[in-house]
Amino acid sequence: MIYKQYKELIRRCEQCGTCTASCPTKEVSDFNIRKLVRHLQLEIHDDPEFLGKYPWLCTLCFRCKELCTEGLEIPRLVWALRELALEKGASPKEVSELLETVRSENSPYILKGREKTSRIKPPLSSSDDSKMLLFMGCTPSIKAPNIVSATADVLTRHGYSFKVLNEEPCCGEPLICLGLKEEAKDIAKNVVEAIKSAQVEQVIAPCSGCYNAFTRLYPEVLGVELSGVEVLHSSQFLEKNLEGLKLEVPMKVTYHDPCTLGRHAGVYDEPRKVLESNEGLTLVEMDRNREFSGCCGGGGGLPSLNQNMPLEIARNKLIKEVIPLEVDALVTSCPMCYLNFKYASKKNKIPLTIYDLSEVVALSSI
Amino acid sequence: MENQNSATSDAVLVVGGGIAGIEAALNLADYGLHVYLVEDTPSIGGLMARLDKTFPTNDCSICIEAPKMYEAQKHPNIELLTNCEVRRVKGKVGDFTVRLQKKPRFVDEEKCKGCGKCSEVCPVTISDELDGKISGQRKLIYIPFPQAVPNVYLVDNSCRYGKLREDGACIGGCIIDCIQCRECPIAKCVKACKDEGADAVLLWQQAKPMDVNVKSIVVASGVEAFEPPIGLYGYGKYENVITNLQFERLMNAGGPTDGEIIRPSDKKHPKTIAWIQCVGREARVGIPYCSKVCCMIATKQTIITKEHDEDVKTFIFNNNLKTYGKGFHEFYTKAKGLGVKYIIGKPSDVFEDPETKSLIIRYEDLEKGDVAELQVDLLVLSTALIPSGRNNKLAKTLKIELDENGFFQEPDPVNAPLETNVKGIYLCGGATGPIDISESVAQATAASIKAASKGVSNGD
Repeated sequence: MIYKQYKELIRRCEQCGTCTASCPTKEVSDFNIRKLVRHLQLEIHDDPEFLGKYPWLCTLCFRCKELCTEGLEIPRLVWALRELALEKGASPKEVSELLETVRSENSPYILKGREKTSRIKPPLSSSDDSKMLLFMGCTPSIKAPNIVSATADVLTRHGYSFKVLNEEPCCGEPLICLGLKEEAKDIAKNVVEAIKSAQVEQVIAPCSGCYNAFTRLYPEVLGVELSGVEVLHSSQFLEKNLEGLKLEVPMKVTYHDPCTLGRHAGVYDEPRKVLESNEGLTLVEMDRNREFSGCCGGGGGLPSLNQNMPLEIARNKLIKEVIPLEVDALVTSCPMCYLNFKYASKKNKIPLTIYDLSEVVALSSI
Repeated sequence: MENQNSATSDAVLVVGGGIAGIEAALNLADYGLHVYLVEDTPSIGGLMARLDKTFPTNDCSICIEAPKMYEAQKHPNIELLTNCEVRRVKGKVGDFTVRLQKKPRFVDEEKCKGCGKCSEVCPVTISDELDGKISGQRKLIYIPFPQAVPNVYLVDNSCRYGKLREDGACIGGCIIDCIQCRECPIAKCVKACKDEGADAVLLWQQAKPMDVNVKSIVVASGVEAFEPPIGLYGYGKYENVITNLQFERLMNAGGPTDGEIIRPSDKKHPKTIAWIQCVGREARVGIPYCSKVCCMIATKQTIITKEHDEDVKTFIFNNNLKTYGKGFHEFYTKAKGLGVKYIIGKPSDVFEDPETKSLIIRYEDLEKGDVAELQVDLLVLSTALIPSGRNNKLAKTLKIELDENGFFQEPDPVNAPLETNVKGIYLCGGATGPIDISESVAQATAASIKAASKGVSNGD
């Protein structure tokens, strides 16, 4: 099946190795994405041991795709292999565990009976007649509540009211990444219903994963349309609506392009424009940025399957690309990147502040 | 307006004065036809005139081409029109009326002796269009390269309009436009030329249209070297990452370094140099075709490098080495015998050592399946050949079709090569696609016989 669907893609691969050399996981493991394609070329990809291990090490960062001379979207093969592994019962146990969690907790994280919003301080005030929905996202609200608070604070201070969903569901992006298409489709339909019943015109997502799911993964992978509303990542909303920002304390920062927002959704300029509109802020670029930006390691569901690899990938990026810039902070606009860098800097005692874009805007006055 | 009716029915227009255009013009002229050889830059010669050597024979490029350039200039049947554009074409095979526009050089072509005194006194030095990245410079009144044909200087347009006044240009900022003033008591070049007794610098020169009547047209618009996007393999960010055309200029005795292969950051001779092939074919860039000559260019460049200094280590990252022509495979084995290392695979990233400005190339060692790094002093990107920037406009003017890549389309490349969808208009050289010099010359010969014999309206 997989071989048929992607036959041309697979056959055209020249086995030049640019994908392997560009791969973030290769830096910290024996994962070799070129060999994965080679397995498909030779039609020896059915081995359960192979299926149970390698397809799950890709962060779906799509960096390899940018450089491929044949223009192959190699991570699509990873995706297909994940589906095949699930079909053959060869997927790692963490995958089914995650599915159970999403089903029982309505989020990829175990809440132990707590409310999803319990850590958000101060509690958000939902304005029922607002035409704008703040779709908080599981990772921001549960793991990085400061991102939700900062976003809400910025919106309120600039005169925007918003509403939040009662018992906001998981968008399903983690399941899509892991190849659980059918399961994600059910969830997506519920999410679309929930958003429709909120009767809003605009959805603001502080999480680039949710944003990518609503705008690209739902229609392209699941065939589910979220129509009738304008979906914006928070960086896009801020770029459109805020100007004349000023930082009290001048700051030199660099910006990390999240894969889900950059290479996946093509949003490169807006976060930079928001940063540059801040008086007192100096933005310096890493050598590899935008389309060529290195992955933080936290994408593609890898953190659900392996706790160490994402942190090692993030550490490598911090040490090789961020520290030499001598910046005060690293700014990103994805909660996964934010957390992964934060954990990695803490674990490796790297003295660097990590900010979500919304936090930088929250720091500045109008 | 001049109206040239001299050789109405027996004239041919050749568009483009590179090696293909020159060859076509010479052939047509030898057949006894009147040829208008039109080139929109200030000199004929094209890309070949700027190369160091030709493969696979390693002949000096300009030494081969210069005699042809002079022959084209002197041939009684060739009317050489440089700095000249094709503006409009009417009519059909056997009777095309072509509106040409001679752009102002601000120097009288008849009077200029090519002495260079004007350039000597010019106070402003700017970065050269071709050699700027490897520290090539020129004056505002200049000659494109020493062997330029015609050997006539020209004034940079931006000088006249005062745009470079802040950079020290002697003129500009006048209340009256040069065109109205028609003399210049300020410009140093004008004075220097008068002192030499030529009085050729005419800052008030204007564009001059002219109509010619031809029976057929040969399009030889050539190719261009692709400029990689900033950031691809460190290009535009790291000083010591250059393109293969820039490397060719470094090797060239007529280039900005007088033929010294030195790297831009410290002007030292690099001891290790790597080439990355197929630059431009990455999905991010999206050039879909193989430019076919780059493998031989890299091979030639490594051989010449070894001739300069046999101790220099050279590496060529390649994945599909093309040795398609006569003597090419032997050329490749010669390079290998000299110690050139061909590494199979395409690198992904290049990093710079901030201290030494050397480059660290990351690639997959395909034998081991591991990521490896190679440190080099200089990195050369073997970039694609792309269609001439003039092709779009030419296609509209001549009503001939382009293919999906922007080269001119041959509707029947097997049975009627070099022909276009318009009868009487023929192609040769880089206008058809990426091509090497000997193929360009062969095509020019073929296109010229078609233009001479088929260019009549009453049937073939």
